[in-house]
Amino acid sequence: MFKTKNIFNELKLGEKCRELGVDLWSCPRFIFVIMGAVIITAIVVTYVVGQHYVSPDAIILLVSLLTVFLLVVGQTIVSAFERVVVGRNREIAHVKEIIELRDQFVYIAIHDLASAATAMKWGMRTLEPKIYSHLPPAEKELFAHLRLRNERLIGLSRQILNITKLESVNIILRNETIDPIAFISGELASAGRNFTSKGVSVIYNPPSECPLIEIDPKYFTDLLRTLLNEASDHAAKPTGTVHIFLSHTTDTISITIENDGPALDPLAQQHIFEKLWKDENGSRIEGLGFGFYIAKKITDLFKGKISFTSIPDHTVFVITLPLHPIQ
Amino acid sequence: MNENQKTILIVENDTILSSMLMNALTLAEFRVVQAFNGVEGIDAVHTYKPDLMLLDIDMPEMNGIVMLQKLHEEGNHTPAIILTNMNTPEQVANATEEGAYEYLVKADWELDQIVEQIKSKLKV
Repeated sequence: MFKTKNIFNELKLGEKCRELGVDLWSCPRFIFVIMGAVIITAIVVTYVVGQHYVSPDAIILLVSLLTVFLLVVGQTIVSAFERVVVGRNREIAHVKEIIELRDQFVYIAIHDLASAATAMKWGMRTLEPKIYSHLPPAEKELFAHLRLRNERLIGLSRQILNITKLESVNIILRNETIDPIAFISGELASAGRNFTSKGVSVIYNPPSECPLIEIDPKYFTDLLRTLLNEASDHAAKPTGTVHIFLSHTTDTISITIENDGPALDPLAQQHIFEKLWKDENGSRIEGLGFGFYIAKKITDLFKGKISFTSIPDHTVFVITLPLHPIQ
Repeated sequence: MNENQKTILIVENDTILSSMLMNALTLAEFRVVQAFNGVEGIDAVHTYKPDLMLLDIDMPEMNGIVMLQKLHEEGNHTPAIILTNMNTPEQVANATEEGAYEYLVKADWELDQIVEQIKSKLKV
């Protein structure tokens, strides 16, 4: 008795059917229980009838009727399953459509935002040599703040775009064979001015040789830029240093990015790869936004690993990536 | 006009960005031609035979990728740098497939860096 009760509790028919969003008679689990009860009853009835009516015709008729009945019940169950699956597929398609619409909106909004920020960036750079030297100190400071805020806006736009790409339903990796030593050098060259404006020196120590890697260069660029940007933001102030090391095994390469800034907040360390993590008071920890979340998502996309250690004057991120894509 | 002067075609619908690019390139002693959509861009390629094109992607009437496709169909392979802002992964992929010389995100670059890129591509 106890066991029977447990089984019924375990089945949680009403709850499970509500979860599926179908009524009781379209709920596979419920119909399955009913079918079980019908089969048991049918077997018992067949046995009893068989005991009392020995005519083979009567038995054949009874078994035939029973078979037809079971076929109907079976068909009902299959239809119920199909209804649930069709409903789910429709829901998934709807969610995909909403995500795609959201992505399109983000792409358009970010494109327009970035265009406006670019106009500000180029405009300020064009005006700077002409007017900067004539400005009083307070306005020079304002000018510098405007540039900094504009760069942050560009950085945020890029991060939102990256997150949208990474959370998109259709990520297609377009792998190419690249030389990691040269690739990292190229990235450092394009980020050079950004480092200088933050007062950060970069030291890159590549090995004399490194195997080629098959990887999507666009996402690889996003990964390197994100981690280099975070390292330069967290390096010692007013002047800091970022070290980059590259090493390899027979199957992987490892990129180590090290900065000499203060240790990351211990609480932040626990949640470093979470998007916009907030503490129990609903407050955000400075520097814990999108960057490390993006780095982790891209590393996962490459089936690689990312790890870090952070002590005062020494925060190190290590990314290990397979040389050949893992399916 | 200096005979060795290189011609750059800017195809960009944002008039402010286009003007700033034009000023920077003119100061660097390039001959600069502006177009504000893909249709005007194709006409300008036929008329001015630029040495290099700076192409935006999102433009009215005809976008930069379609413009590149049409030029390729007629056998014109003028080098192009796609200069745009944070587009979808598909747009980036299409630009690369159409043989764009290079793909630069505007917001990542200062004007003088773009001029340097162009000089290095044209070996000026």
